Amino acid sequence: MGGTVGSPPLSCGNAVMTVRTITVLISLVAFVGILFGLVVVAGSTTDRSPNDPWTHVPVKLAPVEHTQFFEGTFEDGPSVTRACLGCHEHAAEHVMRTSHWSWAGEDAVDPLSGEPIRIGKKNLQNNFCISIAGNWPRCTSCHVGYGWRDGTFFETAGPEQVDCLVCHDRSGQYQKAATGAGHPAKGVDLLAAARSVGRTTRASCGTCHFKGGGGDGVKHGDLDETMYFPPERVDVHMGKHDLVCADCHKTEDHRILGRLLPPDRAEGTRVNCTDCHGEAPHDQDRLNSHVKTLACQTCHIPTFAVETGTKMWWDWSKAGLEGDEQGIAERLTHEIQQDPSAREGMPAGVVAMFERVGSDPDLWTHYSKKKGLFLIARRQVPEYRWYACTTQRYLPGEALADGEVAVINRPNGGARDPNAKIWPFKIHRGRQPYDLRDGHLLTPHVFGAGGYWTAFDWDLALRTGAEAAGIGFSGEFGWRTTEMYWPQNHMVQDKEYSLGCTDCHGRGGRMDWKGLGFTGDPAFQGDRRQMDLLRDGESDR
Amino acid sequence: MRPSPSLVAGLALALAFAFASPASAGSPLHPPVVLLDEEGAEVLETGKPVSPMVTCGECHDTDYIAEHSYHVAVGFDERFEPGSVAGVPPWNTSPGTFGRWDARRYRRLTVPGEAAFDLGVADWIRLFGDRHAGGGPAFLARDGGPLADRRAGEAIDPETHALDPETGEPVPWDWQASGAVEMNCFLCHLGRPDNAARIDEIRAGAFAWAATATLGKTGLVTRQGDGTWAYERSAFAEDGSVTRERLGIVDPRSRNCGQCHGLVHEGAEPVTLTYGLNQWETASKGQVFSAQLVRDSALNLANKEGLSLPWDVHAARLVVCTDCHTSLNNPVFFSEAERSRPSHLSYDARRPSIGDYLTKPSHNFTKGESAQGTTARRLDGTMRRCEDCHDALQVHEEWLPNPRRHLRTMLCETCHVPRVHAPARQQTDWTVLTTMRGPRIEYRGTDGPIGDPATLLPGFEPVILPRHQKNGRIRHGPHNLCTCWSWVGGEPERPVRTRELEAAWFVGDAYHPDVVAALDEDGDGRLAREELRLDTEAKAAAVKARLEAVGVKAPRIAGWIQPLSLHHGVAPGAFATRRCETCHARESRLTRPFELSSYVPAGATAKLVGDSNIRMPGRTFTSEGRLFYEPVPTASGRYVIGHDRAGWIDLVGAFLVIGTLLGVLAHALLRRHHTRRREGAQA
Repeated sequence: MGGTVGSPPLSCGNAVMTVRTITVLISLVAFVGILFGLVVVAGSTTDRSPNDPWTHVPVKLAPVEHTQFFEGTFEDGPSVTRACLGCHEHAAEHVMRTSHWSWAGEDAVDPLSGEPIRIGKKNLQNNFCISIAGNWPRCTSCHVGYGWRDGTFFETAGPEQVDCLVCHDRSGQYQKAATGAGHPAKGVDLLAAARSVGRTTRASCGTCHFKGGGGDGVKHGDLDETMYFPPERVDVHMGKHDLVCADCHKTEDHRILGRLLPPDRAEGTRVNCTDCHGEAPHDQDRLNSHVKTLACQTCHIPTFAVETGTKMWWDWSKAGLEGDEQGIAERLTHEIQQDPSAREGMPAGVVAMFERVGSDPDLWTHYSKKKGLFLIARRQVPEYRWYACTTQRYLPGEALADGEVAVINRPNGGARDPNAKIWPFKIHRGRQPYDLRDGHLLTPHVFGAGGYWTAFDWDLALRTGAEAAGIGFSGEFGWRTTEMYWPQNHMVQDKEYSLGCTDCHGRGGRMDWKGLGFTGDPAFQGDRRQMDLLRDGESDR
Repeated sequence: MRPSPSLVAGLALALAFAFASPASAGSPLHPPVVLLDEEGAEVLETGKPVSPMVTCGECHDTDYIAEHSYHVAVGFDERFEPGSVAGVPPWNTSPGTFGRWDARRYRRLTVPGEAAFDLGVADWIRLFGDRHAGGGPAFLARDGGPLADRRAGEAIDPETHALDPETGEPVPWDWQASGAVEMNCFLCHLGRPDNAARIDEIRAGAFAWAATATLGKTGLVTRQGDGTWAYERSAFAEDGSVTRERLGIVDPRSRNCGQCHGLVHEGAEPVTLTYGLNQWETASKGQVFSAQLVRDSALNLANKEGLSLPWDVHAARLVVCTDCHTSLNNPVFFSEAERSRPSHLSYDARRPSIGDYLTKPSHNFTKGESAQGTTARRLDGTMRRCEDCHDALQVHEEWLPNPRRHLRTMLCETCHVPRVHAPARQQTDWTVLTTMRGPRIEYRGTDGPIGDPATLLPGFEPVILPRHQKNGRIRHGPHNLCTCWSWVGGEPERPVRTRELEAAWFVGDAYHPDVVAALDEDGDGRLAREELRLDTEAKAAAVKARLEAVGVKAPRIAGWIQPLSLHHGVAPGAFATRRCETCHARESRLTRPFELSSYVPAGATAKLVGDSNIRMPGRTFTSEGRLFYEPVPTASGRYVIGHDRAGWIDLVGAFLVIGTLLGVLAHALLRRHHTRRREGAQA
């Protein structure tokens, strides 16, 4: 007999019972533990399956608080940069290798000299403000640097002229002067800006990209200031899922993914929907089969400029008229609607839009003595073209091909190009000056002394502009209708608001199937895998 | 030498098949057409009405087409003697529109020899011709001769007489002046038929001009100030022909069908409803054939933002009416029915040549087995059903328990038409007359007055009822139930004519004082819409007395319930019923009471129409004055797991549970007993 005080003596039977009880308890605990583990594992797998787009969204680390790193005052932008480079010594170097700095990226051959050149925003023309040449202090207010005042900037610019704050400021009060060649505006508290730095925000990108072309929503069609805080109906990624630009436009050493109009294949530099959503994102085979032919954007961006108007037509030839600008806009619009001669040279689609001005609340016109007549539109159905994600580019000085409309950046691709898909575009059309004798587009000098916006003298503006751009000017100029293609990538709608079958197929569908090279509606005639259904010579649109 | 019609037609169709896309469904190689009158002369020369039978008959066998078209016959070839068919009201004379009384239109074709004249054939054409393709009873007399040759004799005959709207008495109808309504090919085969102009001519009794008026939007004809039509010479080719483009010839589009059958909506304009009988199926069943998302409509629907489904998924997938409702001898679609095909043959490759088909295309179209059970009954079950195109088993077996049983006992529509978003007619009460001299109509799926933009439209869940199919199977499907209340009387008993109803209810433009005295509940001397109900003995007696006063013998109120099956308005899978407990629970959707009428006329009962293939197992009951039907699946031998209880199963279950417990207890006691015995033995 043995035992301790307070403990009943263990009989053999009791000991067996205790052991059994303990075994049962352990088993129960183990069972519950395994069950719990399974639930946790199952839960985590459900939340983050390999097909889950969220697995591709960068995980953001907590930003380093910079307040304590800066004291005193900063005289100017470069002095802030010098402070930044004290720690981030290679950052400016990285930036200066990017097209955000150089505004040039692709190799081409100068049509005038035959020499190789690098092309980009720095030297190309468009059909908005046409070109930065001669207009640097105004245009370079969106340059990621300080002091680009003339064509010699890159000969002398150093690392301290990189503007770190334009992307990394989070104080919300930093901004560049509108005409200051990229320098900060007066009154900006540079110390506060420097202390606030952190990850880029929508505002970092939007301050320039939402206002491309000189104002809110002017240029792109799918980017405007509603994208700072868009509702879900404007953009599902940024509205519903709260993504910021850099979640998709991933960055390494300041090289930012995403090129809108690359002139050649640019694998690895584009942002693709499939990066996150995969090649078969739908739960219906029929929809997934569309992915081979259609860009995701085609269905998921049914309209662009969802809330803010974007420019669809810019007629420089009407600039310079004196008087009430609203009255002039109404008069010119009325003339276009009523007088066939006023519509001469205008594409039919533009005429059709002008005819709806007054009855369609999503279309209106605007006049500026400096810039001419604009047609602005909201909630527009894109135009669709084959697009292999590269574009041709019109080079300054290049003689224009004959024809009514000069295309500045024709998208490459056609029905027979396996890399091409049908893509939604905003096509911006306009009338701009060209050299009547040599047949190339001209670059007007508009900003500053002697510029068109002060002197209102086209001859002078075109002559000084041509000199700045390094192109010839015969002294005779006319007006040429041009068009420029803007592939649509933002203002994405979820499946609830995307296109359905009848939006494209059947009677009244929005697709011009014959224009795209099909013999008819592919829902009934077969898609492009049945190549014999494509019409010879008409498939490369 | 003139090419044979068959050759021309065959070539045209062959080329059309080769090059036309089903989407455009055009007839790009249709030759120019010379518009001819009934004599075969060019209308440009004679100025007479266009005869589609002669014009189209140049190449197509229009006589064959007219003989093989239910849209033409509408029951004309199925006439029977009143009272000769069991289950059918004794005042019906055919199962089709030409002879079957319907509460929605109310008016009735008079039987030859009947004293109480309501509609003559000419009246029937004027009233029903808006939804009739012409020909058949609008062109031929009972003996097969042309109506246009009929002349009135001494005797009152519905074929030669029509009701004088002024006197209410039958008067001779001048068929030579009105002409007859030919089968109107243009109505379905023009891209833009002028249906409104056609109906105007029919309503005006200018029957011969109906087909010509259908060309109103082609620019070929213009209406003159005197109501006649003139041909525009400049729109014709020099040789007097008309090009396909000018005429706008197409294969029938859904919109063509929608002219008579209901709202077919195309384009971006938001869907709107008229609730009128010009949108027949839409007003009756709430069905809309449109690819538009329901939430994008102009209707004030409840929870609208969440309704991101198309009105009909097939419309959204570019399926058009003629893809399912095909011509019976169309060689592209022709498929012999299982019941008549030899068992050794899965596919019969022999079929009409394209040329033969174009010459003699049957205009009897494949159809399902709708609940009305009367329309083109001989064509029941000829259409491909859901399961003929969809592999339902493959789609459902992943998640649906016992899919074969579900698919065997339920129509696909049961789950795929879970809700009707547009209002549909619930009751038509002809026992009362509104100030418009029509019935009081109530809709289901609405929270207020119909047509008021502020009224919220919650839509409704259809009732699930068993359908007895031709193949002997019973399958359950969604339905609307339309109740009709009407006075019947006279000898033999008939629905009381509108003329007699009006005489009983009105004095001039005002309600008769006796009626007002009986129905005016608030005593304001007027009858508001809500007061128009005979829900008490006193009210019913007052109106009955009025009817007797105007000569109706032994009037009584009768009620009918017309089931209307729902096969359109199909929802995509994401919006279909997917939760088991929707049906398999105590509050089962299958047994939810369905309102039949918002009030019940005193002393009246409503019974299911006798000529439907639908049964209503269950009970009807009134609650707060409203009449409801409650389905009881067990009444038709159906056991719904989760909802129904069977006593013997409960008993067996209880025995099993108790038996198991007792077994476990006995086993434990025995174990304990043996352990004690062993321990005792060891001690």
